[in-house]
Amino acid sequence: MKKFKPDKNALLTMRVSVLVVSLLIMAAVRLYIPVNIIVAIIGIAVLTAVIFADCVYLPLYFAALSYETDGKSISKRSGVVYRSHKSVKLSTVQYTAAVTTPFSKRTGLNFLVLFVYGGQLRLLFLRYDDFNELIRLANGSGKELP
Amino acid sequence: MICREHPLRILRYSLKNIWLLIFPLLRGVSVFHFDPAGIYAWVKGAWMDIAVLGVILVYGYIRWYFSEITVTDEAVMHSEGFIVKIRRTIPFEKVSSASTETPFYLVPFRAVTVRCDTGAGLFKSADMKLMVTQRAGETLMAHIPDVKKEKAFKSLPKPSVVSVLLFSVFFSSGFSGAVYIAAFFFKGGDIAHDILSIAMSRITEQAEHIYVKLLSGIPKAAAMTGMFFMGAWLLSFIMNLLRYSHFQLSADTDCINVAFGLVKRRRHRIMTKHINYIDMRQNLIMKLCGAVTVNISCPGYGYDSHLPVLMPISREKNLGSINEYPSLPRDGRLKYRPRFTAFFTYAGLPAAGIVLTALLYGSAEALPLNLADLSLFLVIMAEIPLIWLTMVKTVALCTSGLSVYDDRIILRCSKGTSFHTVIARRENVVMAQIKQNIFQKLFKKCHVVIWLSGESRSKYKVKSLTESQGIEIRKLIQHNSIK
Repeated sequence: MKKFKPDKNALLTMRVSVLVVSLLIMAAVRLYIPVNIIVAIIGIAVLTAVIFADCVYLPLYFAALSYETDGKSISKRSGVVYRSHKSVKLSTVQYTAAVTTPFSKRTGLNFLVLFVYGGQLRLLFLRYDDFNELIRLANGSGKELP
Repeated sequence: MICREHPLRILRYSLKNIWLLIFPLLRGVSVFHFDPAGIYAWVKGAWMDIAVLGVILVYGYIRWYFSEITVTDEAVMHSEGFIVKIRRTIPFEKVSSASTETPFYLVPFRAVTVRCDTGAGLFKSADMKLMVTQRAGETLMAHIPDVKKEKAFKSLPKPSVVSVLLFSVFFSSGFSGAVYIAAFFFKGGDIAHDILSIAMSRITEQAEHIYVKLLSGIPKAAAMTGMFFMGAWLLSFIMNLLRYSHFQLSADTDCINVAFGLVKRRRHRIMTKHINYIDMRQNLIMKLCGAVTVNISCPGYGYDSHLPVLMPISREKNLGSINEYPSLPRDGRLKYRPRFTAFFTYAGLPAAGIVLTALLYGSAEALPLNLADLSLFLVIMAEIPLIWLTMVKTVALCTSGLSVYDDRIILRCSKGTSFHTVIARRENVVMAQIKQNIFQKLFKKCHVVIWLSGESRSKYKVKSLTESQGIEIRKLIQHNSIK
């Protein structure tokens, strides 16, 4: 049984992304809304959301997220409020979709979607090496695909 | 093999955004006059639109450039996107059906659309759809199992022109429904026109004048509506004829090849092991003539604007001769069948409707203004579908049933006005459900619903079996799932 944890860099990337998006929202609000009190209210709301996301939700989400495989099946544990445990047999995987982003070796934004009968299993924020290993595993026979 | 999609794909990628420029373009075209100074003035005025068009085309080109197809011995991979890169990988052994489409407008460009489907993914959409050159399409399809000539079934019935013609007639947006609605408006409009004109002439001496002015439009509107339905059916018929023309079928134990289409030629390769079940459909006319349409449920086949048809129309006795094909029944006898006492469950409602409509007609004779004529017409129009439905359900009672064999399950039932004969492997039966209402509980009867695996919900109901038969069927199916 091999365990995979999400890339720690992905947590940092997500925190920075949330911060950047919130700054953009605030800039737009400052630019287009002339009433200071409304700007202040929106600013407080956005700041609260950013603090909650960056300091509470994202760390808990990443702490709860884990994957494990025994070579025959892949399991995913996730969830902050509601914990879920999903498992699929590798033999039932019909096809895969691997999603990568620029500098994903550094940012940890590597995603793998396993399509099975009646649904899909999304493996999120994988380390680049884990990502490649899981692709090989999911596509069968352990052979490296280009 | 590594290749890109066909360059025509640049247009497809760009077209998603190009509609944004349709109104500025139309405005520009309307004021454009050809002379060198005019061109300069036009470019000067429309530089922003031209720049946006350029950006859209460059975006389409970049998307095409970064779209790459890789074919290995094990799998086909398609990667797309230049910021967020998505790479789909479909192993060939998981492909349930693959097809090539060659519309007439792609022929001069030597382009072909290839679709690969598996048992997973979104319903009614291909897991991988690529537009490639014919050579690349052939290379890709060479990796998909094909019918081997030496193993091919020799006795498969060949779909004839007549069978495609009949199939198009029967399956063109409800042939009988269109005829019925057209008749309703033609004849009903005519009668309504007569009645109202007579009524108006009684009421006033100026009736003729009013009739000419006001009522002459009624039959015309009715006729137009009737013609509309007939026209809609005719259009559907022509579309079906073009879609299923030149129907070709070949099969061996592992694979089925189906090709059809005049304007857009489609060639499908279906892997036999991925077929969920076979569904032989009939309506009452086909049932009486011994004709049948063979459909299959296989992921990726029959969801893109055509029916999942394997054989358009064939005689039932001819199907019996293709014993080599593993999933067709060798005998038509069914073990579990409803008794004739179940007539009311099957045909009770439409039969009651016939009687009720006749009774209503009896009470309509007292109506004033010659409305009896109209009521006679309405009764006849109501009785036709009710009598038809009673006949269908009576035939369904005589033919419905179910048999469970070691390797397969065969069931016959009716849905609406069509008859279904379903043959599925035992492993493709998901569940057997017994349904009983309070009266069935009293008389120890039940409906048996068989759920089959498939991309969409597939369930078939055999009505009014005995309770003991239902329990026996459920046990047999559960036994199989435990095994």
